[in-house]
Amino acid sequence: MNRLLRIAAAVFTLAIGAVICMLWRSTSEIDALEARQAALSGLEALEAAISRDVLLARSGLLANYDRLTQNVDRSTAIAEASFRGGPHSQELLQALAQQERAVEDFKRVNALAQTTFAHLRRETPSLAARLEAVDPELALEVSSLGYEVLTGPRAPTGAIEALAARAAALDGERGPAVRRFTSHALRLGEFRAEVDGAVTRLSVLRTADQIAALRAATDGKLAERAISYRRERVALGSGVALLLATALGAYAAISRRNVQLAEAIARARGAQLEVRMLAGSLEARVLERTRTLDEARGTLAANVKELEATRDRLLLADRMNAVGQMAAGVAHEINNPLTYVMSNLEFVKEELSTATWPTTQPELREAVVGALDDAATGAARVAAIVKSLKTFSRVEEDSKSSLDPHQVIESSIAMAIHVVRHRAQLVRDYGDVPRVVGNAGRLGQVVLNLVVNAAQAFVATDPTRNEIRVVTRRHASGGVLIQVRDNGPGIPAQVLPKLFTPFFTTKPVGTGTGLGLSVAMSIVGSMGGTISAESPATGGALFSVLLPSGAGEPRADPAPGPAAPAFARRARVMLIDDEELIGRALEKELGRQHDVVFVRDPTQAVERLCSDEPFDVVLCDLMMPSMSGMEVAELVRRKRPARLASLVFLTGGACTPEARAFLGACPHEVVEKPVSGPALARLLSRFLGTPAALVSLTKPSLHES
Amino acid sequence: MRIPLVVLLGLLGCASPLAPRPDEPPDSVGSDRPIRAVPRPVAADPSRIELGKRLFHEPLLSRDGRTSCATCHDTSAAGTDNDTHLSPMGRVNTPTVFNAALNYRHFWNARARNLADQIDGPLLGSAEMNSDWGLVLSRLAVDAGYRRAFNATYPDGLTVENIRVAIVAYEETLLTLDAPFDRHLGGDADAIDATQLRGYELFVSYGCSSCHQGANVGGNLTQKLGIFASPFPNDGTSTPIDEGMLAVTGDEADRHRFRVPSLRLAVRTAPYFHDGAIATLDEAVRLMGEYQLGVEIPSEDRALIMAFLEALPGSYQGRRL
Repeated sequence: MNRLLRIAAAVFTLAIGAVICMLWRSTSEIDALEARQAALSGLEALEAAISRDVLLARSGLLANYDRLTQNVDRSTAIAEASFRGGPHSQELLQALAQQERAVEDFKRVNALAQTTFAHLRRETPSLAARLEAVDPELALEVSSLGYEVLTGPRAPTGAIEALAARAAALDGERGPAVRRFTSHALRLGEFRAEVDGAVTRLSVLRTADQIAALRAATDGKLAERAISYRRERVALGSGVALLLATALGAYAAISRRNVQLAEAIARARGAQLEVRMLAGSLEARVLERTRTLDEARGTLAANVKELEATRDRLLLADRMNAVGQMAAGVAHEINNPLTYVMSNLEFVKEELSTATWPTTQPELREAVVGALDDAATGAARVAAIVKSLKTFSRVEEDSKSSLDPHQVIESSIAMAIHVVRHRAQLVRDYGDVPRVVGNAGRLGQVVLNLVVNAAQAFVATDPTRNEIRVVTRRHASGGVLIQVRDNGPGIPAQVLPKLFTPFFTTKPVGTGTGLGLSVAMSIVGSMGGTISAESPATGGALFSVLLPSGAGEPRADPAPGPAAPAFARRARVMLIDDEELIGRALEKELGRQHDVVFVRDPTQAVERLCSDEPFDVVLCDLMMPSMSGMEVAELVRRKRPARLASLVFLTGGACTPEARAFLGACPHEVVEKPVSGPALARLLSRFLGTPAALVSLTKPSLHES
Repeated sequence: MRIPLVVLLGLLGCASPLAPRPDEPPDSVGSDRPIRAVPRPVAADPSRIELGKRLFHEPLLSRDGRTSCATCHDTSAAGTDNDTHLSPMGRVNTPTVFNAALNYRHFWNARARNLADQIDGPLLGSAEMNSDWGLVLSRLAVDAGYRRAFNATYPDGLTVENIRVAIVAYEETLLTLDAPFDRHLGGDADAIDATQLRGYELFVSYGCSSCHQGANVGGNLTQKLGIFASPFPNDGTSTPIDEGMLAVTGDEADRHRFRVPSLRLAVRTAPYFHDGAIATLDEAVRLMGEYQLGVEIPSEDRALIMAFLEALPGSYQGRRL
């Protein structure tokens, strides 16, 4: 339909164009013919005026020649402008040239005739009067001859010549006077004859005939042209009407189709198909149906894929949730004993290095110190595993700040480099990426994990061929894409789905915890990002971390303070914990610098806290069988709210939902078990207002190794 | 599709030619009298007039770069140098440029149909500017002022035709208006005195006004010099200029036939006749009576006629000529 309309429009436009060309030609020809007609009318008017003026001038009734002269010139000018080169133009211009010459001659002799006539009219009476006295007969003759010459149709030439002959014999003044009279009378006759000749020549010039012939020719052509012009106008009118109708039809069809399309979009796909069936051919319908089916199949496949992915994600999340549940409980149980194991190990080592060892055998002393170090290492590893497990259970515990991903990656690489160096080359491929919001340590853990995993994936440790490539890019979503790619053996297809499952590991027993990637997933998830793994066809493994970009104030992580600052004074510390061993371990740890009051019973602790007994810091376990830390805080708040400012909770893991909610809204400081000496020292320094510039002499804590 | 439609509809409406009509000749007071008043100049493009005035006074148009149109046709005087010049055709009396636009032919032998044609005569004449159009064009083309003026005045800038048009436009403004006699024709009873009026009556009754008539008191017909008596000797010493229109048409009937000169500024444009042989107006009037009228005009009548002729010059730009 569209094509038909277009063809119709093109045909109509062409036809109308042709008609317009003809019309244009007709119009210009008609214009030219009408201009010639107007010129001919002008010439006719001028001819009439010239003839009239010539006759007036001949009778002495034309005042002056200005009008006659101008009309003759204008006739020539009009003819030159309108008819030069046209048919009959030569004849016309020739006739006009002859007319001009004849009029010029007429003007000349008519002027002489008029002059002579004027002279005779003035001279005859005065001459007759002068002759009257001396020769009345001659006076009468002159008078009557003058009358005849001035008024008669033809000068009496014979009589004038006879008078002139007689005048020659006349004496005195009479002779020359009469001779002058006869001379003028004869000349007047000559001039009149010449005037008549000029008028006759003018009358036989047939200028009017030339004009009439031209007019006849012009009129005929004009009539012819006018007829075809009218025909062409009718044709153009019909053509335009048809074109208009076509255009309106097309417009109507287009608007109708627009409406249909709008409806079709609103309606279901079936309705769309129907509209297209209306509009299109069978072929178009088949193509349309095929396309629709393809789309549907594609959509279905995508849906299935998405569903599968969702199911996998849900399964994984479920499993991780279970791990998280378990981890919270386990962590609490392990962390408490671990706190005093580590504290005691630290205490023993400290004492060994300072106190006088009761044996003189240095070998034994070294062996004991070594054993203690091993024990501390083991305990630290247990602490690390528990800490990793706890990642699953806690939600918003870490302090978050705006991070430069490259800075985080660089610090992770620095930590991993001694593992990577001997196995592979590390290649950085950084793009221009925005900042992200998260915990630098956590994100660093993710990157570290991926880099170390990649390094450990290589079978052969050949740094010249093995390559780990760390790539950062700005993602299309506006976020940050961090990729860690290696050219190692890659990930087997059957392993890929289980990769992020907790405790799943391909490493030899004892090498890994099986928690690295699941922890990474948990961390990335808490940052609102995603992590995925693939084994590209080109080989190797590719881990991609996509993080949302973090707007907001870039805020550096609080710089870790001095490991253990020296204190200006001894502080009074109350320690509330149901576990005797924890209490004693911390008592030992803190007791060297501070006065520690260890209270096992929360009720008793609340009593002492509500009294006037001075305490700088109150360390309170969160989960206690008889009374929880939350209840302690509530009781203290009621009786002595000022004391709350110095309250710090110790927790081995918030294992109940209430505890987690409480911690989430808790205004108090929360310290996680197992706590190390330096961490406690930093905490206390904050409460005691010790300048951070003071450098601790204490050795690095186990926790940070 | 929409645009052609609009064009078509537009075209339909624009095809009604207007027939040109010949306009009437410029009229003036006294059209029904032998002598009528000088008509006001027709409106023209002021930039053309200005350019024409500059060209008229431009010595660069002449070969020696010293002679302009105005050298001989002094517009600050009576439009003439009141002198004669020896041309290859003989000695020629300089006619005035004032009111030349009212003449229907130009030169004593009427060889130029209009002012535009007339320009070639003095410009190319060896006794006058002795120039040629190529020289004129090249000289004007290097003058930035003329280039600018021509470009501003004409779409096609500097051309020979445009030079002619500009000079003609200027010359058409060189009219002497509001002469005492013209004001008399307009009904001003005090414009001329009784002597002048008597002179006019004699001018008509002697038959002078048979030839010297119209707005320019002549200049609108040609006439033979020497009807009742001839100034030309029969000894073959006459020059081509004496032969009048014969030198142009080759027609023996045109021997000694000249364009009738205008008497508008006769009192200011001595000497007289085509060759300037007659020094005084009185003598010229006397000879005219003898040659053309076959009468002896008495000196008192000549004085009256000259008093009338004194009433014919009008004013150009407020200056009475």
